[in-house]
Amino acid sequence: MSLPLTSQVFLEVEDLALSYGKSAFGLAGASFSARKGEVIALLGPSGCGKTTLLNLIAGFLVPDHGSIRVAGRSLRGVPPHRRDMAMVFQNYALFPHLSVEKNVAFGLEAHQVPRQEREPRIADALAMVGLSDSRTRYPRQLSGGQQQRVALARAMVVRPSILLLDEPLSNLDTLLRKSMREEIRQILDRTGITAVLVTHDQEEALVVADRILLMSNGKIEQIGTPEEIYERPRTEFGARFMAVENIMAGSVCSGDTAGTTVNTAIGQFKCTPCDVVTGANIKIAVRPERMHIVAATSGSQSYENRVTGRVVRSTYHGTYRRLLIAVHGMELIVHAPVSSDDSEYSGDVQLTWRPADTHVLLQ
Amino acid sequence: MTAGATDKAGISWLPGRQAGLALLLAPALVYYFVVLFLPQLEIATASLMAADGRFPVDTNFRRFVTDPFFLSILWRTVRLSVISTLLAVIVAYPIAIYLSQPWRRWRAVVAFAVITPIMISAVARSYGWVIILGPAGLLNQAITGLHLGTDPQHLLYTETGLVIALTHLHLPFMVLPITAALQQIDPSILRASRILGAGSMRTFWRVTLPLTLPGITAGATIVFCLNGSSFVTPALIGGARIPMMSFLIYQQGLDVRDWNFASAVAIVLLLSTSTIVIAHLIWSGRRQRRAAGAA
Repeated sequence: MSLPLTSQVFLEVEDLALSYGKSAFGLAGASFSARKGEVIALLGPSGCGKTTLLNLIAGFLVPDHGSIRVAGRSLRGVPPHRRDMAMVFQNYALFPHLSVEKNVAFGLEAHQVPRQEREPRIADALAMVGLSDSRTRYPRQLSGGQQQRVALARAMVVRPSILLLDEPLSNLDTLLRKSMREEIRQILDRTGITAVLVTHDQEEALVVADRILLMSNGKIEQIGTPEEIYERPRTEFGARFMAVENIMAGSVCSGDTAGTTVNTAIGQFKCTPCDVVTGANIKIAVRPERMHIVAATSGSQSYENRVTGRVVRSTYHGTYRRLLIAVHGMELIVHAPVSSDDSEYSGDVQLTWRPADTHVLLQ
Repeated sequence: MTAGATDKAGISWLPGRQAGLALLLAPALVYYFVVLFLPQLEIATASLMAADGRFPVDTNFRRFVTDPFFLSILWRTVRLSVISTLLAVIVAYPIAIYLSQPWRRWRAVVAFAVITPIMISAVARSYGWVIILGPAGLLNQAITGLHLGTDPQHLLYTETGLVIALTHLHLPFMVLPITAALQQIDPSILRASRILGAGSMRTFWRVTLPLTLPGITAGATIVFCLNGSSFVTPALIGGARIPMMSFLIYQQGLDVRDWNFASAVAIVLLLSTSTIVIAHLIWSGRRQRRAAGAA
């Protein structure tokens, strides 16, 4: 969803930090901001501090220093129940002793919404997640997907200023997860709510978020749109986490605004422009699906970066073929389209890729 | 939740599920039959017998229900048992909250302090309370020492003193089930309540308390039965001045030597406590089935 640039900053997190003694789950000074209606994903492996950051925003944890502001108001000392937020939990966290409608009504009662206003809002929220028929059922009578829908309805019904989602889809099976994440995306779009989503699933972050905060070791590695995070990783961690599997060490040979030339153990490659001085030791990264096999027979298109290698292993992945290619003692991973004649993916092959797909990583 | 799968995976080395279960239950059933059912049957028989051996008669029960003194003892027993049970819930709950929080520093110490009453003989414990509650006892020394009152409070041989002692005596049986119930609550459910706008009070009344109700029910049932049937503590702290049913049975049996009337009193006590317990079990069972969504 593209937002007008004039949109005001709504959620502001500044230099937020929390340490748990020696434990690795702390947060070391995170800053970011979100506009109204924006969906932010906190993405990273377990232990990167993303859940800590979410719990700090919710008020379940108290930061060592730093500040959180919503619409200009500081949340310092504001308890969770006065933050005007709502949360969807990984394990759903429905109230087991309450029926579906009572679960949804809980937040309305707690916020002292007038009685006559509650009923239509409960009906709307349940209709939104398609559970109007299950009002009187109890959480344990519902499937995982249905429970997560109730959790979403229960959170949305209070019309929170910020919706927090903590790994909302991790407990669902793959197919359900894919359909649910699109459903969540649609609901967030329709309601225009500001949301912060915690996930370790790259695809989930790409599909659901407007902007992604890539996190590692309690720090924010990179902030960007899904396209930027996917296409232009800035650090080696970011590249590896977003499945950019081909990472080569090299040194900068020359560079200008048009591009950078880098010397590696397997040849000299043209890369995207960057402001690194000549002679500096850096790493470059290329996604497996952006490397192409040039068929020996046909005159298929070739790009500026080229190497020759030998196919060591080839595995079938349905939509693509994953090739392990040895190039002068280095191994590269290539995802090649499945074709009618897969015999061309064997023996000696020529690899080629565009300079625009070759990224210089910050050390 | 597929019950069928568990059934098929049942224990295979047993001859059959029903037969196997009966085999495993047999020792307990034999034991209870010999040491509980047969003696109870004898007491029930004795209660229906007159002093001269005539049988069956309702003289003993008639005597009990027509004498206001005996009825007052039954009423006191039920009343003090209920009061002490409710008091135990109120005292036990905060302790259980403390014990259920793993980060608490003095958890082990508090847990030990709670459990010790079970490890000490009822006689020793009750004498301890006699010393504390007595006219020159610790409690009175503290009251006068802190200028909270001038005259020594009469706690020994009073219902107040008895309730205090009974509550302490049976507290562990209330603390432990409530602690277990609290530990079973998923912390994210409490967080969900907080972030949905409920303060800590609302979260307690609407989420924590309902979810621990099975623990409270279990504890209350045990403590109520123990209160109603306890003998040593009421005998030492209440004695003959405020007799309870257990003391009346003892007195009628061993002092008056009227075994038939003592048996009738025992049957009355058994029936009244079990009526209350069964009513409670039916109510809580219905509640739990409702929560499970079977209704």
